[in-house]
Amino acid sequence: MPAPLTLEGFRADLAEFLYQQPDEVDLEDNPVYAGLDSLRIVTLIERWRESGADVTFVELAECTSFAQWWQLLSARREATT
Amino acid sequence: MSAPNPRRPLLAAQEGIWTGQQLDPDSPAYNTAEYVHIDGPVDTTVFDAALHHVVAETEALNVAFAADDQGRPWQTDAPAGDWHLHTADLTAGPDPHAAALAWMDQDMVRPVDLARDAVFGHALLRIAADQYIWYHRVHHIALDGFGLSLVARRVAQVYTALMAGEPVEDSGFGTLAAVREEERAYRDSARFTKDRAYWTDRFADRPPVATPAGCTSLPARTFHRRVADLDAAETEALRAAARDLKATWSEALLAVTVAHLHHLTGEPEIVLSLPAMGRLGSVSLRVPSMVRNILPLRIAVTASDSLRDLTARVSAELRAGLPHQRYRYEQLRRDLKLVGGQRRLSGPGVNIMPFEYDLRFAGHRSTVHNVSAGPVDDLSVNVYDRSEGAGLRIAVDANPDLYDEADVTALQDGLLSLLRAAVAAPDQSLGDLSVRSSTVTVLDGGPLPRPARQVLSLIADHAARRGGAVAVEHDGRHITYAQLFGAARDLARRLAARRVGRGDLVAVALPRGIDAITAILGVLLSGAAYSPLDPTAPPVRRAELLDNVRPALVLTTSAHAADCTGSDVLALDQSESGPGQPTAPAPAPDDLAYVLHTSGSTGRPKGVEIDHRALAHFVTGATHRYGLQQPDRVLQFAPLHFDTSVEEIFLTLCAGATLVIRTDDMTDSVPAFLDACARLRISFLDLPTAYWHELAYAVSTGAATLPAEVRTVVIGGEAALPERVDRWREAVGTSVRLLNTYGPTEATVVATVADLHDPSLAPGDVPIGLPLPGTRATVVDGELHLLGDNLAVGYRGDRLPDATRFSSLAVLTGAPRAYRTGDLVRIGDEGQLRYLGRSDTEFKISGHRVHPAEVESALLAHPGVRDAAVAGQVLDDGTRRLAAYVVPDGPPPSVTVIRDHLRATLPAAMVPSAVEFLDRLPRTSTGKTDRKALATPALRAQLASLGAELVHTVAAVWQQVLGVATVSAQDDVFDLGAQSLQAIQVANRLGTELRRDVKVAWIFQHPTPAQLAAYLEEEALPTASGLPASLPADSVLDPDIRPGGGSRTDRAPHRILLTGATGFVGVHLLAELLTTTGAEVVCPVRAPSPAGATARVHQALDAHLISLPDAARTRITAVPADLARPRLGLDEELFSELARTCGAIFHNGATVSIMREYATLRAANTESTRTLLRMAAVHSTPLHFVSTLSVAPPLTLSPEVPEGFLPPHPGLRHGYQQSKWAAERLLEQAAERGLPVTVHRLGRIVGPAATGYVNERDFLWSVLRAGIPEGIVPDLFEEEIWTPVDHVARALVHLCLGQRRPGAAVFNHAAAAPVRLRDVYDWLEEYGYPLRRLPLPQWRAALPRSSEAAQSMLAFFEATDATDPTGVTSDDATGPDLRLGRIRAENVVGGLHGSDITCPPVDRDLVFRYLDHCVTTGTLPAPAGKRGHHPSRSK
Repeated sequence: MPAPLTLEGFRADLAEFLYQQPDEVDLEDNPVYAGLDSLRIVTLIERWRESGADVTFVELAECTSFAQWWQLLSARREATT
Repeated sequence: MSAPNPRRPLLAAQEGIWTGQQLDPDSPAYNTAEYVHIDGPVDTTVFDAALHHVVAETEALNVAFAADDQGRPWQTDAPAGDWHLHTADLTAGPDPHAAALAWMDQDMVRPVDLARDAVFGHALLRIAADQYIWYHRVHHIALDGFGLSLVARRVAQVYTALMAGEPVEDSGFGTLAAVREEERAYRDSARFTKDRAYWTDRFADRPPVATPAGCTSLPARTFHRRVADLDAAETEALRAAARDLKATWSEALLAVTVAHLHHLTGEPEIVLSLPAMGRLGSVSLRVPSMVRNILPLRIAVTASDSLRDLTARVSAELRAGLPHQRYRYEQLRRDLKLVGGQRRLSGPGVNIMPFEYDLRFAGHRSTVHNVSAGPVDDLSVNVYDRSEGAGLRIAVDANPDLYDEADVTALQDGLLSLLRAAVAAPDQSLGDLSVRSSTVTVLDGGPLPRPARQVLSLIADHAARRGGAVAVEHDGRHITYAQLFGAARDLARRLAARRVGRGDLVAVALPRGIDAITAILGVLLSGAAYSPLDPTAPPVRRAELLDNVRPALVLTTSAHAADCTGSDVLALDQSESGPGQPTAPAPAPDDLAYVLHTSGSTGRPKGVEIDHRALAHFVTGATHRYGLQQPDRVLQFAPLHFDTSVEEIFLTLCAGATLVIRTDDMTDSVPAFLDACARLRISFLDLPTAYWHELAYAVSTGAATLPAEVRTVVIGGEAALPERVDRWREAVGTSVRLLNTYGPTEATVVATVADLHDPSLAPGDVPIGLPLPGTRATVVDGELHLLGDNLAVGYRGDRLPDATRFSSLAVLTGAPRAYRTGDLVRIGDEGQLRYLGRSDTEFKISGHRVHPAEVESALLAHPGVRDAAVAGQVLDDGTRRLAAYVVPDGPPPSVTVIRDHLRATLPAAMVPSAVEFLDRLPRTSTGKTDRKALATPALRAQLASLGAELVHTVAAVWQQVLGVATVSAQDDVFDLGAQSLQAIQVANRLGTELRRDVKVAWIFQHPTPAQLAAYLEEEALPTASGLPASLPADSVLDPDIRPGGGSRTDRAPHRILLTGATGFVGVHLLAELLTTTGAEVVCPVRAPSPAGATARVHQALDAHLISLPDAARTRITAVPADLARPRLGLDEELFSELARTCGAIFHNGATVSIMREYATLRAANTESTRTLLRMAAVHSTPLHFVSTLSVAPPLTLSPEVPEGFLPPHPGLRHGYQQSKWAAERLLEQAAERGLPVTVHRLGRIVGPAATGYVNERDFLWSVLRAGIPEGIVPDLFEEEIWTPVDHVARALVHLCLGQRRPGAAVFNHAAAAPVRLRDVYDWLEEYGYPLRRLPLPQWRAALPRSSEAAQSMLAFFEATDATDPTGVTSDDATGPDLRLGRIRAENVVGGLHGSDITCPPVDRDLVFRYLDHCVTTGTLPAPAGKRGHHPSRSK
């Protein structure tokens, strides 16, 4: 089982999908305006699920910032660990 | 709730769907559906309860939609209430799953009435013990794909809870109001402005949108779908490649789609349509609703791009566009003015659904399958992620108006093979991969049965071994092989004596016959090649050919020798002294055998050079393929200058069979032809397809019988009509071999052969088969290429543009030499070729490639169509259109019926906009359909002033709806900012105003008022105005008819052309012309021969009691002709001679019948006028046209009849009036262009005052003939213009040949007072016929049906009743008044001023003279009442 999701890992994952450096990722960005599409979100969800953070597409998709994503993910991660 | 059902606006996405539905309100295409296959038992009752629960809590499913007066749609609450789940147990059937799919298909095609019906439907179908299918349909206006999935998930949840007996959790669904509010807020946001700026900037140049179909169409009611799965390994390979490219698999798939579309279209940029869920960050994530958006994605592409290059470009474009994905696609189209007509923002769709549903129904797994995602504009590639890691499913949907199923298959196969290739080699050029993954099919005719031997050596063998066998028969003569070969050798020696031999070309200008065969063989034996020339060809043509081939010698008969000046001539029928020379050795394979002429692309004939190798190969292959054998007796049908003669002669003689040359009279009639074949014991018939069509027809109707000895029939020369093939097979069966051959002269006579007698061929299927043994063929870009030793050496004189048709074909290994045929073909599933048409007749219309042949075969499938030709035409204004020329089988069906028939099978763009009926199709001198003649539009669908009013109406409605000051006829309303809603309003208003159905789709298809009016005109004609569909087009004069060089103003022409000279007026015109001028009068007359024509003219003169001195009669030249035919049925030479020599043209001929419809009169009455105008234009010859006052509008429409040309008017009710009016219209345009033309409108023409002769065909006299014996006459009219025929002839000739009043072009011959019918009836009574006068209906009722005259009268009235319920025959006593207003006749009066010509009054005396004539001839009974009128007349 892969290592549990950390904020660092979360940033790195986003950076990969946003074609940015991890430190360039602005957590206040709106995922839509950052250029993410549903397939990328689904792919990220699959990846994070493997790291023990189980969220649904709808839950992530309705968030309006990456910070809200992290909030949700860390809540789920705590719930499962 | 207190408010009774408030109405709410639609969401933007819903409005898009609503508008789409309005385009075709009865279309079921917006039904979307999926089914969930549940793997386990389902409790039907609980499932039903769960569904009802979910439906009740889903707001979007409890709605109704309706438009207000303005056409604006609203949504209201409408509880679905009492609906039922359809349940069925299908397990008893053989294939329950298929039965379930069939049930869904049926359910899907039911249109939904958005105002009344539930927008959804459910079914639960049991397909196995523990297997269920839950089918869920919903109109797209209520839910999009994501909305559907929300509902499905919720159903699974509720069902599971109910099954477990647990309480049902809250749905968590948000409200539609929240979605509406979010949308409203977005529209007012800064984000909206930003998004709009992005898209309008990105698409500011409105890029062209490329699609494989090359054109657009409105969404159809159905779509083609082909589904293919990528297995798990392939899918994983795609994912891995995408990861390597730092992209998603969807982006890689988009890149491959772009590359494939580029490969198919060659366009440098592809614009895709990407459906986007439109829910990220939105409340609608939890609201079942319709919010889906579409993103246009433009990607530049070249063939050298690799998957890596292109994927990066796709990713970047998406990254740039996705942040702006909330901006509505419909809005962007409006912003960019890309609405209506052919405009579009983006092309094929790629719909990627990354969600796998993993729904569990009380713990049982399920899989979800899409049934329909809504209508398909063009193409749509739908990609579904199948559950459990099974891989991707790729469903390609296509609009059936643009693509057929084979297209879809090819598209999907091409896409998938490119995907596999690209994933395996992401750095290779996708263009190369495309070429490599598509394969060129080579069709191979198989090996020759034996090595090809030279034809001369084969024939020499027969002469040596079976010298006594009959080689050739003709008209009672025959010649044996030994004699034939001996005679040929003698000729070869004579040629050698003239130093003609190897390398030379000898022209053979001989009629069919034994001598011709001998001559051909003699030439070949001399070592020279032969070139057949038509001995009857016009001298000009012959000179051209001789100039082209430059023969060493011309072989002919002494009769034709004089025609071949400039060439060395050997007349075969003149014996030559002097010893012959020994002949050359046998020709080598590379030596030419013959040179045959075909028409070149430039119109100049080109000589095709065939060498002995090609001839020998062809003979060997074809003899084997046809099964031709020694005992066969083969008819030699073709003239020698057709290459079919090569087939007939050499196949027969090389096989040692007997060649039977047809005699000229054999083809007089089909029954006579087949009788002759029987008599001659023909076993093998080789016929031109056009002639065989006649044969097949005659045989199928029993008019003729195929002789029992005929065992093989070979046809070729043009595409065989499926209908005739079917008839033939029905009548003849499949025991007689029917071989359909195809081949250009350039590939030695025949290239491919199909067995049409094959019983396994489907009806209507007419393949051209497979290549001959020893040859191959391939199809490149749809065009047939021929390969092998049968190919010609090339063209004589090597004309460069044509020579390029022979070239090496690089797509095949070894790049073999090939002949590019210019013929478009298709390879059928079983590998046989089907002919589609000429690539040069392929016509692009609205960007759609149309093969006339395809449309023709669809036309021919209609039982009322006997023959048909379709041509693409380009009108003066550059408009392109398809015109269909139809030869009806019996009475012509209506144009609407024909169009409806075509619409059922063809895409809209392929349905001709003009349909015209002809008696026969124009043929070229070689008997093929004359496509050139058809492509030059004789009729034009331009908007004549007929449509002007309608244009105005359409423009006015647009003006109101758009709220702009002016909309002109040519304004594109969508450029003026029109939007879908307004299009719908215009359709409604126009519909009200015009009191007819106006479809919203038409508004989009015809974006200018002029276009829409033109379309409405055509659509409307049969129902609205009553004018025939082709009338507006027929009444437009071809632009090239203009005054030619020099003008002829001489008043004493030496030669005058007079049409209709045998008719009532014509014969008097003839007499007048012969009497008052010294000119020769040329009379085109329907007759089989010049002698027959002359006889008819003299008979007519005699019948009308016209006496002329013999000297005058010798100035009559009658020529056989037919006004209803192209060029009046005159040959080209005579036609141009008449154009050159005639000093005046009197066009008086017409088919006069008030019973016949326009379609059957237009050729003789209208088109003949066009033809004569064309003749007159050459030297600006004056043309005088005899017309009728009945073209004028009645008094109710116009107080007077002007002596001028007439605009169209509603009084044009009968075909005859219409045909004459259209002809006048042509003259009007000719006059405007400066041609000296006059129009003479006549009233009722009565017998000559001098003799009292009565024209018995006259309508009024027919009425009297029926009524007088019964003592009853009808009140037909009040008064009429009556003119004695001899007077009108004098007046007309004087006006035409005398001093012409300036500006006078139209003459109303109505100088005398009208005759009152009341007076006529008084005189009849006075003459001795007691009469009762009855209103027309009573008269008809009282008329007994016994007498012949009465019968034909009644038949007339019944016929007109059917077509004209409000016309003269109306039962309504107050029916329309058809009287004319005051008839202006100043031009006539002025023109006759100073002459001694005055119109004799039609009075009691004259009527009595007519009655005397009728009594004398027995047409009327002698009056029983008062007698003794003769004395009164003789006073």
